[in-house]
Amino acid sequence: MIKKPPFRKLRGYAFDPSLSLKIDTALINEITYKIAWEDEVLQPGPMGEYVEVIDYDPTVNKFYAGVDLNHPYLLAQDGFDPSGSNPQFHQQMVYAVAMTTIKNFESGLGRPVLWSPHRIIETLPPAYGKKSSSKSNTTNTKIRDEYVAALRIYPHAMRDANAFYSPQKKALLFGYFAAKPADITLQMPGHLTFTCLSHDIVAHETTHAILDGLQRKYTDDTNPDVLAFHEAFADIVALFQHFSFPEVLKNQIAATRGDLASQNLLGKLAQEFGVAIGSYGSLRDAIGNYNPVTKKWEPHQPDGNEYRTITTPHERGAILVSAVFEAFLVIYKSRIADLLRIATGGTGILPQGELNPDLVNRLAAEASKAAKHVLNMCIRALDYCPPVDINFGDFLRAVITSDTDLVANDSRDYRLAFIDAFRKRGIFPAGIKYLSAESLAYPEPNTTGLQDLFSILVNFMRDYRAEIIYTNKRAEIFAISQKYIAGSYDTDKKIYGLHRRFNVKFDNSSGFEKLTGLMFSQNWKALGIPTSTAYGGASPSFSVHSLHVASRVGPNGNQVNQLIVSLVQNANISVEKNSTHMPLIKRASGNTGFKVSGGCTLIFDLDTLKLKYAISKPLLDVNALDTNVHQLNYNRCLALHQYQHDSMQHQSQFQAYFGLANQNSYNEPFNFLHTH
Amino acid sequence: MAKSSNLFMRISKIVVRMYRAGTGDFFVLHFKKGNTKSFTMMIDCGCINGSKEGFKPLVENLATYTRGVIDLLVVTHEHADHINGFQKSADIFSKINFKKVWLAWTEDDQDPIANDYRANHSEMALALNSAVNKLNGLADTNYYESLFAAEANGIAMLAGRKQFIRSLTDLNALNINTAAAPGTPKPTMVQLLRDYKVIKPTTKIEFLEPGDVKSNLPGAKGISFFVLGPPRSRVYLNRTEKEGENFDKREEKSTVDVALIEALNAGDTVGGDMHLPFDAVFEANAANNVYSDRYEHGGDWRKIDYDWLYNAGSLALRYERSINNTSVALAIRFDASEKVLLFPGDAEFGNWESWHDALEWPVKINGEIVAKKAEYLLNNTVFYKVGHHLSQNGTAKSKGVAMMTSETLAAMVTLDFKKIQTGWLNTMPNDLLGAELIRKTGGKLFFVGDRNQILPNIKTNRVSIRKDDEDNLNKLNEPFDGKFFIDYTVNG
Repeated sequence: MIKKPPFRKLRGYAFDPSLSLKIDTALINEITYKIAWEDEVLQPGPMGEYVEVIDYDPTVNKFYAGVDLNHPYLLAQDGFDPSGSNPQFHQQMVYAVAMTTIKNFESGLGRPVLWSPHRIIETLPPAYGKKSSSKSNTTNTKIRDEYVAALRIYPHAMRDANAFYSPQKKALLFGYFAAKPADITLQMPGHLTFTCLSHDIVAHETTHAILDGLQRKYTDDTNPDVLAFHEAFADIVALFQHFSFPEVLKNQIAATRGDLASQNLLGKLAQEFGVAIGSYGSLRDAIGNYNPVTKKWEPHQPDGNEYRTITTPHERGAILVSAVFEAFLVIYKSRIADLLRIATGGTGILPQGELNPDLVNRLAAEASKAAKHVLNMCIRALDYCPPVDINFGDFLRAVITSDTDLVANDSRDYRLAFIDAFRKRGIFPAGIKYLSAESLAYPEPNTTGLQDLFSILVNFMRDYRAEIIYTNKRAEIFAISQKYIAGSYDTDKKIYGLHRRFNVKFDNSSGFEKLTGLMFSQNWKALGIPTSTAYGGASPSFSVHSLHVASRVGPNGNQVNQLIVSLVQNANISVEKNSTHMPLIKRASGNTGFKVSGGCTLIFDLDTLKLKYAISKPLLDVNALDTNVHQLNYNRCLALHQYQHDSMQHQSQFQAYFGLANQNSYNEPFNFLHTH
Repeated sequence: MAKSSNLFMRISKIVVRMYRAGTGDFFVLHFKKGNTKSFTMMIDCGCINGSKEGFKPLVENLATYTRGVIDLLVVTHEHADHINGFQKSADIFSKINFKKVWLAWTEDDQDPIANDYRANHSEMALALNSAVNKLNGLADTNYYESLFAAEANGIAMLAGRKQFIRSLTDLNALNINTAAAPGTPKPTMVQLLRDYKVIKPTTKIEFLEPGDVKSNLPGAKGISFFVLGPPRSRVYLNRTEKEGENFDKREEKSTVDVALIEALNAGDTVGGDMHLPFDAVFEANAANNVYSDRYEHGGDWRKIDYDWLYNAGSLALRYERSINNTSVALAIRFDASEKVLLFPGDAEFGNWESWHDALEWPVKINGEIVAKKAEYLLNNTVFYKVGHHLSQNGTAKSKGVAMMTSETLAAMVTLDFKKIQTGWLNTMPNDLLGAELIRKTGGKLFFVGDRNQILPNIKTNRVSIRKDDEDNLNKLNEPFDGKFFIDYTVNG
């Protein structure tokens, strides 16, 4: 009996084809990716469980035959040789990088990656909606989330210096283009550059898709940080994946003599692309920049003003990337301090010449471990973020809170490294008085008077966990989660969905309103919150945005079992000025207004049945609830209004010309962001 | 004073008349000796969505105002918003005597570099047209309506696609000068203006080179014309922006459209393998193509048949800026007072930059000839025709507005929200530049369109405007409210 192999080995570029043309990087640029083995499910394309590569080039109306990775010849030689002229290698490359990215996410998240669902309008049979509509001529419809099994990947989708994730197609579109670079010694003019051959670009786009599956409201451009966060996260994942390539890592450790804060390949993104569109180096660099005046690479020194002054998504995203990368460098330096002392007899000063290969190996191991830890901290934090309107401060708090949950004793000061790197860039979470791990971690919420309700709710959700824990089929996980959110009313085992339970249990509960910042009382219409008639009577509309179980094991073997639910509620409002020019929030009539969203991520401990955290972007004015007044959150509404009004100031010329200003979240937002 | 001695008098003032057709340039300048007109110059004639009826009263006014004789016509560049008035009002212009026409060297069909540029531009224009036609074909057949019918956010998706197609179509409408077919260059401005009956057999044509100085033209004694742009160097011609040098932060870009243009211009005949990225052996077997089956039957909502056409958006912007950069940029100087009127057309950053880097002009000051750089002309600028309708890319910052230090500076903006293309509504006016000009001119800023529509878009929360300046602006503009031109007199 022969066992299934754990991996499929596929050759590919560690960076992109341009590094194979340079003597000093050619050797390390070709690496072998180890991809989780997919056997019978993997069809030529490759089309597997998570992704399906379809190589159709609409610009010349041609289909290219898909690579059959199960072909014995390819199995025997770890796939095709890296080559720009063989489209089947291109397919292999996108598959290898996308799968590597997905698996890195899964190991951080502790659960399978699901793509964001396809939201469609379903027309219901007439009998179904007899109560819901007073107007007889309207057809009765409802929105349904359809499961998307595989992310579609088009390696040759367009002829442009662009690649993007399409939330509406659940697809990655990669472009290719003929380059006219700034420096022709770096690249031949007219040479075709394929974005699908860049590890960084493929990892970046795949991360956009994964992030959209986890937090689908993060494509709403509601504050300067949201799209920047999407961009930054995609870059962070691409960067830290560099550290998972052992040969590359050792080579760069040796080249920098262990100092990863100096110029090196690991901190650079999309080198070929950057050169091809006319820059003098990589598209982005987490630690430094090419200075066009001195014509030298210079490390970037944060001045503390970046976060306040930079508003365009990529540049703003770069602030977050450099903060996280600096946290990594600090952690790495602290992890190798002892090694350097041992290697230098205590002086800390390394001798001239090449480093001892043993030392390089040990340093590389520490770098790789630190990178993995930092990436996992970032990925885990995604479960601790509010479902709407995220900013970098929220992300910092999420990182600190999730890490505190899992690792009680921060013996290596990881959390401090994060806090310090964010502080240096002027990223301060709102409402925090002291910048310390204790104050940044979200406090346990006050659940007075609600605990009984929560106990019943979480107890019921144990069924969900029991059901979901025994399947690793992604389609089933999706279906079970949907069933527990929406309920199941026509089977033998009737399940009242989570949405209905929230609706009924917390009806008029001001305690729950204070926790979530969402409206569950009468009079919601006056605030512009739409009405739901899902369960017969009228109630304020809200949605259970996502539901999942997180089971994680900490470094000391401690286990964390959590149920994570996020709720979202919208209001349609307009802003008018009163006689003294003070802005007033009004509910909007017809199509005149704009949408403001509130949301809350609730994290329950499945073992104690208690609510651990309520991470909220309140739609309501939470303070006013103390005096039993229900009004919208004035500051959030006004901030959104101002941001939309000033959209021109933070958009590129291309976005301003062709986009829908801040209403662009359903109009291929990443195509707009990535256009060069 | 006897009429004969008038010949020896210098020009003492220039009356700039800006016609208010819509977003677009349309100027007539009367050069006067005292109160007697002795030289008439016209610069451009066009506006966005210009119609024959719209232009008619304005061009008729021009015919009367100039008494049917124009000593000098300057056409800055070929965009519709600078030339379509000639086309629409050809019947009137055919009766006007244009004595001389000045055009950029890029319009000279004897110039190999110019011809090369025009050939490249022709390819870009055809590719753009092809994309615009294809996308409008989709829009006209309600392709997106049915594609998004079942999508939960279909209305927003549809609005997005429509906005894109509308903006692209509008942007492409600037390009009324296109080639007949791939491989043939588009007409030069000389051919166009002949077609429009502006250039007549008696009209003298001159091409302008950067660095040229033209002084003491008949009837314009005491006046020198300095030619600043368009630059000869490709480096400058191709440069449309530079970080920190425009009124907005933008990165420097390069030409990346070659492959896209090739595919768009291939049309329906995908012949030859010039534009194919891969060898034919890699193509899927047509008879048994499992990939196309999967593609065709895996949901229309996931297909990508037409998404690549949207790349024409960045192509269109690059093409527009490239043409803008071929603008004639002229400085008109009163030799005695050294005061300058600056007309840069729609020059983009590379054009502006080239004035400073490459050029010097011989200037007579107190009887002595000295070499002066562009900074001297900018320092002495008292009238500025704001480049590219007050957008962020039409006026250089440190090499432009910052050097305009005259205390008597006035400026005119050819922007009008009533007649404007869709995309420009979101990019014009640039608030930073607008506020800076209001400050520098002390309110001597005039608009083609209704200032009450434009000013609120300049007064954003990141700029501050002095109340005195705004009051002055309103006071100076008020007399022209409801009129179809604005006159501003520059005293020499």
